[in-house]
Amino acid sequence: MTDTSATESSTSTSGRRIGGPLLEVENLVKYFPIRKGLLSRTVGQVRAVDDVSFAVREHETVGLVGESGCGKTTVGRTLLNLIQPTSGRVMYRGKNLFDATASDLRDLRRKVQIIFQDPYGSLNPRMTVGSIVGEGPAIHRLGSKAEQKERCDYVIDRVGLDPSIHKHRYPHEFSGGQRQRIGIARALAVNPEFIVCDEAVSALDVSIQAQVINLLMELQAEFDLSYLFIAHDLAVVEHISDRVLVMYLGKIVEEASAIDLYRNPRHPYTKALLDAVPNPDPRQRSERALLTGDVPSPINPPPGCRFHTRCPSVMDKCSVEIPPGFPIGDGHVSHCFLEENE
Amino acid sequence: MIPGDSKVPHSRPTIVPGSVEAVTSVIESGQHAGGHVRRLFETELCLRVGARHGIAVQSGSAALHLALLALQVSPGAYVVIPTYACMAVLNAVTACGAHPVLADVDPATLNPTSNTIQRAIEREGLAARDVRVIVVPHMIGSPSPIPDIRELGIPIVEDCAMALGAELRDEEVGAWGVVSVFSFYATKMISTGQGGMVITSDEEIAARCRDLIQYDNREAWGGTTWNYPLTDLACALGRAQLPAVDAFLARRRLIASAYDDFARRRSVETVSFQPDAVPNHFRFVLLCDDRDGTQHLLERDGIETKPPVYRSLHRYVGGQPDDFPGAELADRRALSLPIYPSLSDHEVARVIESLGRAL
Repeated sequence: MTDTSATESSTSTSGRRIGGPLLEVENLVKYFPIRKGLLSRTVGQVRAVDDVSFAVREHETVGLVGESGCGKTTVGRTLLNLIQPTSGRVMYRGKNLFDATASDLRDLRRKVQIIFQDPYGSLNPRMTVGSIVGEGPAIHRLGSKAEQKERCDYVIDRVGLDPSIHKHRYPHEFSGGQRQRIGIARALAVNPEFIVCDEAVSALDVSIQAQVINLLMELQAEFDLSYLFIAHDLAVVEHISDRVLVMYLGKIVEEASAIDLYRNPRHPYTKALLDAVPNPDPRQRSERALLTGDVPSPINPPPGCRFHTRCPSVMDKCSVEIPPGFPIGDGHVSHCFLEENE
Repeated sequence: MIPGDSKVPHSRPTIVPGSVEAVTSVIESGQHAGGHVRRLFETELCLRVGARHGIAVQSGSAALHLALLALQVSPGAYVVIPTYACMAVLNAVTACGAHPVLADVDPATLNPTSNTIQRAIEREGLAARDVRVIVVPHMIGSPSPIPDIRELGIPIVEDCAMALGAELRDEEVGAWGVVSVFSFYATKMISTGQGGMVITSDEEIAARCRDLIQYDNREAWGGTTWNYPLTDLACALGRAQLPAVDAFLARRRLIASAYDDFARRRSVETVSFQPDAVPNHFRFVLLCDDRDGTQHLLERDGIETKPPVYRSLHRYVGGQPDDFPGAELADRRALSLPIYPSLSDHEVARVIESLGRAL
């Protein structure tokens, strides 16, 4: 585990004061069983998340990047208790999410929210916007009916929609960007502390992306929110995140401040990921350190470093030993044996 | 000039579909300078360049002035700038009360190098530690050798006024310096009429920039602040063009390759680029033995050309020509041809035909 338990506060993006640890993930593992036959016997396991540890501090935005299928979304959903982990702990303000009592869990479910990637599929088409946004405060009994309505109107207004008009409409009457705003309003309605943004801007046009990113940053300042920002768009993650975690095949391979990671990537996978940003000029394409080969199966991941089968700097020990996190300084950690002798 | 053919201007803004509607919607909103559209424009350019903060201001000159102020360039400080640059660069330095230290350029690329900068510092009897900032432009959209210049250990302001979309070592320019500045003047890669932006990933510099342009509604007066924020009207025009930058680059590349073919066939010298750089072809510059004669002949055919820089800065401040041989050569030889996305194939053919007669 890396420099995630720091308790002293620091200042980051837009002058936000980053506080102590809010969420601490310790050795999180999630294997999905593969069942076959009439008796549904378990014949294998998809190792979606394998021994992942990190922390998110108060008012901090942590970016989580990696290719499709690397386990980012599984991490995000486990933090919300939407998926039960195979092992590991998720401590929220010192309480283990997976040992929580029903009453604690109810409180945690209010404090930890999610914004989904698909603004089309994540809203109930049979409910009006007012009902969608108002459902959370009603379930959690946040104040009187009048206060719930007031809160609902406020958050709908705050995300740039007009409560007097829009709350009576249905999701299909809105554009993609507006639907994502409704998803944000739904998350905000219960006064959360921590929001998992799971590819929250990936499905949007570039110009709409900027609107939603700016909105998320404004809301963070106004409501003192912390974000886990899961995305595959590296430019978006760089812009919005204070720290970034890079995942490959269920494991975190590098962790650093956003500025350090993009200026000084150390892990060969991070370098390849940053080099993979497409260049429109065909003359420049051949010089890039592009990844070769396919991503190995998470059912039977390679032993040792999971990236060794595609790594341009592979060494003998990489196929035998799992590289620990090598600290580089200022919270920058790379899980690669190349750092061993640095 | 063939009767019926109009003049081919040296520069022409390219207005993309949707621009008028974007500006109109801001006009109709009644919020012309509220900052909502400005913040979107800032985020969108940051996402393109790969930076964390953008501060949109009223011109490229204002952006450079603001960047220097935010880097705490104070009266008496030394700032290195290339002599082969527009006067706005000199003005930004003197507006801070700082001393400009003029560096020569490589006449083949028109850009400063670590050697020309080192020589300029030594000529003034200074050491690198005495210099507060180096302003490094990417002249004509061709990236300067910033990785080498970084070795001098002096903070760099990357002047990307001409360089939106250009690349150095596979990275788009704008994130190589501590701060970078962009211009959206009418002739630039994208136009907001007048406009510019400071880009940085440094939290403190960004905060200082924002503080320096908050010119009213403050709790206390802590020194001069500047009414620099770019209007939402202008930002709407900029936002409309940003998604078209890649198409602009592709069209400029095509025109440049036609000019390149001509130059190779006729053995005409052109400005060269660094091997690790991809220019944005903001300008296509010939290096002519008889620059003024060539310009005159092209003018007769209705082709407007210009020197990339009106006059090197050392000439304004009493610098010795012998100290700036590269810029002196560029002043005599460099000639910029029309190149912009809205230049038609027919106009490109006219330029090449006219060059064929003139050279």
